[in-house]
Amino acid sequence: MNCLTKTLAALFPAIAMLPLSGCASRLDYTLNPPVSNDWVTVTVKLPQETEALPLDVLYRSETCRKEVYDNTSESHMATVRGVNPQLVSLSQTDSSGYREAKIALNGGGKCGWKLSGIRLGIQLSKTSALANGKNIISTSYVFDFDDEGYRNAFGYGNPKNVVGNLRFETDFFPLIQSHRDGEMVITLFGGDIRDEKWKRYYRVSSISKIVIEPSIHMSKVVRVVPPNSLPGDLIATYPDGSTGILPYIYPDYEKLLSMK
Amino acid sequence: MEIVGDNTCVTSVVPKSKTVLCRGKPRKYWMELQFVDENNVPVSGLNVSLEYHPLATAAEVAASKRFGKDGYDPTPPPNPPVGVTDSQGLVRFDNLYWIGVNVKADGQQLADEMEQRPLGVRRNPNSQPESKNRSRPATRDLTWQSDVQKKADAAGQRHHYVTIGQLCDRLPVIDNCKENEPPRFHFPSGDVMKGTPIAREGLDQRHVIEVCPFRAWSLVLQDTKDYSLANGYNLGVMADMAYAKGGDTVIKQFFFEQCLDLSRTPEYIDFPSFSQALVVDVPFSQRYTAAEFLDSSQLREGAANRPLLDSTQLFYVENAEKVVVSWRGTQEAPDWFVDLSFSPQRCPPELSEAGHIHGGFLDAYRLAKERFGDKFSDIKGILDKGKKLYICGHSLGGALGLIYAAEMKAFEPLLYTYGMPRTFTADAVGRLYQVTHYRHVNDSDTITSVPFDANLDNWLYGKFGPLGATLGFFWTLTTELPAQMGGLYIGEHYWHHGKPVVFFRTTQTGSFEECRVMMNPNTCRRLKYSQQYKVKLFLVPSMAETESEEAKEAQEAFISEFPMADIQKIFPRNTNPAFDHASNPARHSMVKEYLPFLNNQLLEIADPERKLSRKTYRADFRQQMDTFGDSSPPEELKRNRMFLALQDMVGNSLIITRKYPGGENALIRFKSVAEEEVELSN
Repeated sequence: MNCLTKTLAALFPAIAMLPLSGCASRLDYTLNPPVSNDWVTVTVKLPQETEALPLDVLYRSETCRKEVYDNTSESHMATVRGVNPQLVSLSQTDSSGYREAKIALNGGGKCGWKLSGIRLGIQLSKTSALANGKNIISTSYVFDFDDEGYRNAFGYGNPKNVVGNLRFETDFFPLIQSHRDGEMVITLFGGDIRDEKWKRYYRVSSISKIVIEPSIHMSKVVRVVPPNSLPGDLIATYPDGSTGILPYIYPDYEKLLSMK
Repeated sequence: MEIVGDNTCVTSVVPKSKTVLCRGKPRKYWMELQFVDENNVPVSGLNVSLEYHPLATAAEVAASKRFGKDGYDPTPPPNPPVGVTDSQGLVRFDNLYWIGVNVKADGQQLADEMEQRPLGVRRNPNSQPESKNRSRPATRDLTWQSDVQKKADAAGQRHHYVTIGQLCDRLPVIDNCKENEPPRFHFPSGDVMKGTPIAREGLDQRHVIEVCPFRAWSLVLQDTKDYSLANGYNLGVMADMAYAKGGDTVIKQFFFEQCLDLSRTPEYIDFPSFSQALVVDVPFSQRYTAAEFLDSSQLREGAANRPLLDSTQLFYVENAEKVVVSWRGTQEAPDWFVDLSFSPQRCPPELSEAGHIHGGFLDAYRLAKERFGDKFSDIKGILDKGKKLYICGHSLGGALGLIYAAEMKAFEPLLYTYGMPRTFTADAVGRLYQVTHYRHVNDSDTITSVPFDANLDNWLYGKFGPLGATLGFFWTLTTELPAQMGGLYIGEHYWHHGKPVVFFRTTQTGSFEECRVMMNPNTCRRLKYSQQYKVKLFLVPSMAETESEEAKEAQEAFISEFPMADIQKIFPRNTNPAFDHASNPARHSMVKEYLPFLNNQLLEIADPERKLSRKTYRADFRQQMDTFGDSSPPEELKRNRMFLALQDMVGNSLIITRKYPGGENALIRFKSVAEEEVELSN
């Protein structure tokens, strides 16, 4: 009896709220870019044993706003720009090994979706021998088209401001990291992303072309292991067999570049 | 210096020049500079240099050029030789000209030394950098005086309060500094190293230069398996901050601006709660260096096979000793807790080798985990170095926090949750013993009792009640326990994980006899009612089993009065106690219920002298128990006595905080800015 009362008492607010759910107005997520539009073309060429993930593309809308809960008024009075995340696949590889995707800056539709961010993830393919038995983690190029962009998602720190088209020929090295809990991860390492110099996070403007054609030095593997005693520093073994302790958690990229 | 000739001047319509000769040497001046930190401890061995001001400003030189041919040469005489401060922090300069100077010190030496000096207790409001935000101007209080200043004034010395940027002759190397600009508080004029100006009127005097240590604020978080109220409070503030609509702008403001601004302690305002962070000062190189906000609502799930219950938001921050990961939940009364489409799913092996997990929570977790894989891997890399992991979350955020803690169990994380729903089934809960988890439950908060645990309350008792005593209070789960109890588990029911911290709104029942016919017992019946005074108590049942030496005495006294079996009956393991009030979703609010109560409890212990209404309520309740105890059910009376005893023990959870370096000062600063907040929202 006691239990039943409690259950009912617990359920009551839920029952009372049931009619309220499902009434929230649905946003119209359809994209309908106008014909005369500005586009940005993302072109990617990757070597064997690596793959590009479908592009993360984010649109935002001033008109279709998202209601957010506001503590002060205990209501959904406050609103933020509506978000419309998309996944865009790259085209099939052409004869010269390029894949591309065209992204509309103006997404159109009833909501007037505007491009806010693009992220390209690249990683070792699952079939690659190096990746065997390890968790594959992707490495990102992130482009913000407004001041919000992917700031709260793929971006790290503050983006670098750039004007005009971009072309990347980043040097990547496979990085195998053993964690203290036994997990092994493999990722493509292209420098300490906190460093202005190696950061791959951009706030772009006047842009119509992004070309990403990285060099991936598959045979130059760097390995990172946790310290023997805690607290301690991570230890890296570089492709030439030399070792070094890491000031943070990333290997010495300049040293790797000298070995490519 | 002697002046030869008549040097008086008469202005006339026909000015004529007049030559006046000076003979002998000009009078020379001296100046003494004493360098001390905020605790008036001298800064010795410091290389100090003086630079004369130019003899005229550029405008004056330009004006003089209009009259004379060559103009006036503003170049001052050569600077005096560099001095070194003695054991008193004192350096004396003699033979100075009657010219103002800029005082500078060796930048690197100064930064290295001042990093090691602790802050004084009181903060100088006038040191706050000019605000860029017009709606929040910088604080100024011109009547404010530091202790060092009062002493200097009394001794008739001139006082200057400066940050290292106002003394450095060059920018020191700052560890882990990837920013383009030096930190604003310590370097108010950016990378221009101007030094501290002293006008020529200040010559022939001693100046006390109080240097603000090169420090930063760090949240008090303690690596202890015992309950720490400091952790409970600070992680509560962090759990609330995960709701910030501004996302990274809010957390970056808090950790990169407020935590570097030593003119006051950081605060987080989320109306109606005004949370003053409990912080200690640490060397600047140990400041927060990463603060990232991650929001999965900006992602589209690749294979949307199931409808997503919710998007996931979290943020993480890192400093020299720790990483805090805080998960956002839902402040609203959610609709997911009755949604049957989220059936239990088998736990993935990285979380637990057996048992089931709430399917909806798992999906929400995985989306963030997979797509932000690089950041989660970085966090693991940071932890590999031996930094401590703290996890927190409110509501659904608590559930996500527990899932994350399950995945990170090898790093022995400390998890503090607030109003979390049940997440795992019994089999899984038993395998998460490495996670130190304190689960805050605000009275009859509905969310903490979903999904329903069937008949668990009663079932648990019949099955495990007597076993509890042999396995120790609260049946602390150890490695062998699940094996011993294997057969007794029921696999499919949701269990709570962690040790409860219960904010219990306690009532006392009274009863009286009502007789239809006077003096005739056959016509009488007993009527029950709830007595007038109710009181909300802060109960940490696990404090009765603490292992800390300091709290041992209080604990033994407690146990001798209230046997284990009694405590276990009231706080059954892995579920909530029976409350005096009906389930109520209004009890779920982080800002209106959980945070104010934590704030008030911390304030009460930090400032025992202060008058607080919560103390009055408690005194009234005690009085009521004494007066009407006879008409209450004896079981309830005993329970309420135990509750009050537990409430009295909460203070012990700050013993460790007071021992923490700078902990005592943290509490003093907290009580000087914190206020009692309203505990019961409605």
